[in-house]
Amino acid sequence: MRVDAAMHPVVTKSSDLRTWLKEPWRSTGLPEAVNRDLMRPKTPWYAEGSKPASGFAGSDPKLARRVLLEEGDLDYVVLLPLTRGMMPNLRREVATAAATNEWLAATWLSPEHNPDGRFKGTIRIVPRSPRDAIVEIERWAGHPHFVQVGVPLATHLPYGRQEYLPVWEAAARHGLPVAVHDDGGGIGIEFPPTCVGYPTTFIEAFSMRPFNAAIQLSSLICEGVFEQVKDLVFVFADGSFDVAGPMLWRLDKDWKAARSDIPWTEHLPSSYLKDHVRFVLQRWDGPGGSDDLAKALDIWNGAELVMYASNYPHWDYLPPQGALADLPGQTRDAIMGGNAAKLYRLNQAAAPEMAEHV
Amino acid sequence: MLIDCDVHPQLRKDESLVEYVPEMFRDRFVEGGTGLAGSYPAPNKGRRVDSIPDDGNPSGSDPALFERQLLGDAGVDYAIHLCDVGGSAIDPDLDGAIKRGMNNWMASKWLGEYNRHGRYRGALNVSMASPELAVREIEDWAGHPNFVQLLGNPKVNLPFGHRHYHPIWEAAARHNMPFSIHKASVGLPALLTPAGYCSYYPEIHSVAEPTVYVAHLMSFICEGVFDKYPNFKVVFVEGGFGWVAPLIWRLEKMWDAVRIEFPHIKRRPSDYLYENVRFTTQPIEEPERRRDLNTLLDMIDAERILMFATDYPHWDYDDPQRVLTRLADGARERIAYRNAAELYKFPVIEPTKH
Repeated sequence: MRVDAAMHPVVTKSSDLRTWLKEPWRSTGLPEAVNRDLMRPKTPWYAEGSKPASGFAGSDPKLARRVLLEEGDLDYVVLLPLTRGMMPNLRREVATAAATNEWLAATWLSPEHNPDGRFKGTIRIVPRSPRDAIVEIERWAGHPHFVQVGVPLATHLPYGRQEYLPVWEAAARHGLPVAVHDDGGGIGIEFPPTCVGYPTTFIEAFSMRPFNAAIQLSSLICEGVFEQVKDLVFVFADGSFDVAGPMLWRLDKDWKAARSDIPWTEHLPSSYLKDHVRFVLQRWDGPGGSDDLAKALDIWNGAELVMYASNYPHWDYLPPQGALADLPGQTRDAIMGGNAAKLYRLNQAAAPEMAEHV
Repeated sequence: MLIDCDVHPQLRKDESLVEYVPEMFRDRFVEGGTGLAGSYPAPNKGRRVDSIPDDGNPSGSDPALFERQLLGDAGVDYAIHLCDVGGSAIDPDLDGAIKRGMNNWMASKWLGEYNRHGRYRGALNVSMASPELAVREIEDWAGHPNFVQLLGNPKVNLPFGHRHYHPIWEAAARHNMPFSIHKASVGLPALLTPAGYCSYYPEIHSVAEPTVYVAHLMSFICEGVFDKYPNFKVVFVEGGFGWVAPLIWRLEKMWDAVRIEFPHIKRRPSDYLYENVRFTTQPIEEPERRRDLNTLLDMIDAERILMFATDYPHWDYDDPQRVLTRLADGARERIAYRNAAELYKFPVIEPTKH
């Protein structure tokens, strides 16, 4: 089984989303679909060959199908559309997430574009508005092709905080993992991307993301969320298994000495990963050489925790052809699809059957 | 030989920094600075319980006990004092005055009166709130035999590579003083992470604080500080080092892809890491499978960039016997003293046969 755990579909042009937006949002201002990301270098933001004749790169389901499912020989692709960052107007942000789900269901996940059910979708929610987030989860949970919930990496309150608990409970109740991914750099009301303000260059902001994911992960663990919601799984979809690893060594050590601070975290922090956390693997994760990558994956249990993602159509697309080919067989198979198939309950035989239901 | 790159002296109860602070600031001076010490309380009130003197003075305030536990029991030959008795202030002038007071006290006591054995060195406190005051502090103390590096509060609103700070790095490089940062939880307000405020000490101490170091390290490299001041050195104290591996892996892989951002930078990120940057070991990473630490250290040639520290007399003190025996033979000497001796120009005492 070969699965792409994160591909990023996008509307053909920014204004397309208006078709699915409710009023008054349909008629009022909306951030661009493809945010130019603070400080992105002036290279194309998309992978070569991912731009259709018209429209944004990653906006053509037929092209993505051909590149990933046919040429890339993948069995399933998990679609993780970005929304448009944290908005000053929370209601607009909620409406944008809802419209994104309507759009994905009506296009990429529709019988026309997804006859065999090999595209799987992500329900975008705005967790800082818990009531709306739960409504959105409930609306789509029964759909055969939405397999997870998607939330932004940047928050004003870390994800372990009890304010979010009802949202995570709703996701877990429906067997939906929660995927955390940077939302395209945002439009300015996120907190700065480092604890010490804005960096100057793209490489700094971009390389900070897995560290910020580790902050969210430590919050989930230290607030005891995985004790409270036993079936909850978080997917860190910006990479970061190799950053979370050493950070959790530190957290394990502190837990032994300071667990009176967090008595609700009953077990060693790193022990929660097995049942509650998965990491998407991007080309930036781990050391360069394949021997060293195998060592790093061994140190941090990559064979169980890590899932390959293409990141298509983004500039750092990691083509499925030959990806991780040099890893030891079992580890490679688990990462290239086994782990994702288990998490999202995908199986080879089910694919044609699903087509009958849609 | 053993060099300890992070120890912390304290004021006795009958001492006050106020008499060391420049006169015009004495009325405004608040003992401990204006920081919130209590936002994320550390275990054991932050100290090693057996380091509290019998007379009830604060841990780390009694020179005889300090000397016995550190130079005697732990077998340390040289120790670098990082003074955190004064805290910091948001007002640059007051912050500068606090730093001056701390330096006066250090020079008079721990690097003076208590240093007859000559085995203590110190970090000169400089205010990050005002490069002008920081440079003045450096110039005023340059040539003092026992101030061997600088110490600045890393909790700022602009990463350290920004040109705002360059006058400090210029002065540091000119006087061959490495710049050290230590922790990030001091000072007002609490650390605001990109995810928002943390709730508990383990979160902030294990994960959020090291990300401050990550941000500064990338900024130093990407803004070309090490190109501009090639002999400028930075020491990251007590922020961990396991994360250096994934950071440098990322930067090295991305460097070619985003090279257009850096027409002004001549070398690769790892070149600057090995040449200009050092990390202290405490609190040492302790993976469940012990060999994982050495595998990781080996992958990034960590013996070139690590320097041993105990953090005496704090709660998470690292015992050299326990820590150094965890390291591979080839790495142990470099980490125990050679790297620090090179950086601080200590005469190396060649190990006697044991």
